[in-house]
This record gives sequence, C-alpha cells and structure tokens, in this order.
Amino acid sequence: MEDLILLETIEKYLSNQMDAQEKTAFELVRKNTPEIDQMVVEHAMFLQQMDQYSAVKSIKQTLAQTHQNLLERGEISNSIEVSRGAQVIQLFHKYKRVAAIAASVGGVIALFISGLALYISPVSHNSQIQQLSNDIAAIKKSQQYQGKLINEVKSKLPAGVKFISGGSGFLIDGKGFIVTNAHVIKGTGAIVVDNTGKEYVAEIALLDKVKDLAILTDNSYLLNKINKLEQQIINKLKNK
Amino acid sequence: MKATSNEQALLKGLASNDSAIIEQLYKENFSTIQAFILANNGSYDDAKDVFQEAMITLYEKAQSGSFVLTCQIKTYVYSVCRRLWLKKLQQMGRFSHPVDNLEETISVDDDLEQHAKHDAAFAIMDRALKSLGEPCKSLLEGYYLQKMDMQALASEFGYTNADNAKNQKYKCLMRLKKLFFAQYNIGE
Repeated sequence: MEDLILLETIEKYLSNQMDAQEKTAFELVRKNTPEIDQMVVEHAMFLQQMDQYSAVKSIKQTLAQTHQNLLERGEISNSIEVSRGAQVIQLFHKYKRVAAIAASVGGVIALFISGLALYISPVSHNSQIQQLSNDIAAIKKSQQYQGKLINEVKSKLPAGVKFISGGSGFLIDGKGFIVTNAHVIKGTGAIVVDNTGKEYVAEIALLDKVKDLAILTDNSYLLNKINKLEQQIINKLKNK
Repeated sequence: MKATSNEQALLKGLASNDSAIIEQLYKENFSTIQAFILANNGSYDDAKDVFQEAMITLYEKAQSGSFVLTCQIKTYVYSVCRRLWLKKLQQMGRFSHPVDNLEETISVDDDLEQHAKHDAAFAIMDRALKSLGEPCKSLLEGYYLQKMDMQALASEFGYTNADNAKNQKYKCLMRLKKLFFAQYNIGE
C-alpha cells in the first residue's frame, strides 16, 4: 500500500500536478532519500517508454489503416503484377545488349541465306521460252492456213462425192469428148479440171477395159469453151 | 540535397500522426519500395512490412524536434528500406548477390541502430502488456495510451468509484514495470 501511494506521488510529481509547496517538499525527500530518487528516475524512464510505445502503436495503426484505404481505392497495388513489369524492364535493361547482338546475328544470317539461295537456284531460260512461244505462234499460223485450205477443198467437193482415184485426159473434139485411161475411171462419174483450174462434172460416155480407154463427155460447159476457142481461131484466120 | 520546406512540413505532419500527410507519404513512396522488394526476392507482404518499418524509423527521427533531414524523404525511405531488406535477406540466407540499386542511397546505419533499440523496447513493452492479462492491460492502455481520466475508466470497467480504479491501476502499473524492467535491462 505504501508503494502505491509513493507511486502515485511520483506520478503526480512527474506530470506537474503538484502545487509549489508539495513540489518543494517532495524534492527535498528526493534529495535525502536516494531510493526514492532512483524510483523517480526509473518511473520517468518508464513513462517515457510508455509514451513512446503509445506513439509508435498509434502510428502503426495509422499506417495499417492508410495502407488499407489506399488499397481499397486502388491507389496502391497488392498484386505482383508490378514486379512482373518491373522485372521485365530490368531484364530488358540487363540483356538489351545481348538481345541486340543476337538480333543482328540473326539478321546477317537471314540475309546470307537468302543471298545463297538466290545464287544457287537455277537461272530461268528467258530467251529459250521466248523462242518457244515464237515457234508455237508460227505453228498456229500455219495450222490456221492449212485449216483454211482444207475448208476450201471441202467447199469445192460436191456433197456426198467420194474421191477414189485420178488421172489425166485430153479433149479430142469440139463437142467436149475427153479421152482417158479406163483404169483411172472408177464408179459412175468423174470431175474434170481444166488448165485454168475450173472444175465441172463429166459423164462416162464409153468404157473399154480391154483397150484401157474411156471417153468422158460434158455437154454444156466444155462445149461453150470449145466454141469460144473456135471463134478465136476463126477470128485470127480472118485477120490474116 | 536539402529537404525543401514542403518536405519539412511533411515530416512535421508525420511526427504529429496526421493521417492525411501519412497517406500522401504512403502514396508517393510505397510503389517504389514495392517494386524494389518484389524485384529482389520479396513478396507483397515483405514490401508492406519493410515500408512501414521505414516509415516508423522516419517517424522516430521526425519526433525529435531538432531533426533536419539532409536529403529528400524519398531517398531516405528508399535507403532505409534497402538496408532493412538486405538485412532480412541475409537473415533468411537468401542473399546471393548485391541487390540492384534503383535509386541513390544515403547511409542510414546510425538511424537504423537507433530504430532497432526503439523497436526492441517496443517489443518488450508489447510483450509485458500482453502477459499482464485483463483487466490490467486494458486499464493501463486506457489511462496511459488513450489518456482517459480515472472517472471514465472506473465507469467503463465497472469500478464502484474512481479511487478503486486508481488503486487497481497502480497495482497493475507496478506489475507492468516489473515485467518491463526485467527484460529491458537485459535488452540494454
């Protein structure tokens, strides 16, 4: 109980709650009693520790509360995303030189390989291809020409006529009789072509297979032609 | 670099436990420390712990009225965090290579030594209070930490009068002092 009263007195003294008279009395007791003096010093120290403890405790609370508030408002982050970003940046700074060297080596190799490929790959035969296309063009042209000729021949041949054989013959009189070899006549008629290239149809007048002779006749056109010839001869004779 | 008058104002705010100013300091500095800790084998919780410890170190310095910071708060906080984290890494045996230095640093060894002492005292007081048990703990905290008067304490704890509460408080205080000084002397 005595200790409690003493403690209360010391605390009262330390917190300046004593009036001047009390204070003087107590300071005298302090001076004369080293034990009490020691207790005062000790208690002052303890109270200071308590104050410090109290202050740090409340600042810790404030800090924890602030952290919580900022976190809730999203003004600080609790994820490790920050670290990933920072780490990536740090790694970038650390290895950017290596990366640059690797990139340029890669670039040089790429260029070298593409150059090599270009060098080794077969050259295209441009001139030969040009010539080939020219040749094909020529062939096309000649084929077109041939086609035209064939069409011409087709149009000249009477429909349904089959060409079997051919030979030569001679006019033997003004009435349009033509003599030829019998073996060249096959079938029932013949097409005669004169010296100007004109064609007309002739009939078989006589056929002697033993003597190998045949006589063809054309009743209209040849006759006209022969008549013209006769007229020319007569005119010439008259002029003489 | 001298601290600007603005920074002095911030320090004053910190010393008086001004929550707005503490929030400002927190916002301006935490991300840097977080990035540093995370980049050096630490976790988000490590960053939080180290940063708050650095803030307390700064608070302890700011509390002594004569204190003038000789560099920017940012530099000071970073230096303290860096030193604290290096120490922690060494303790955990995870320290393998010098930690990358992202910012300029100043020597804070003396301050940290001082802080370690304060921290030890804080831990002793904390333990002593906890081992005191209720209602002593709450009674003492009410009187010395929350600065409640005896009358309010008496009604809160259900004592019949303030004198009884006061007697009880002094008994508790004597026990606490015993517990505290038993360890504090050893700690010194």
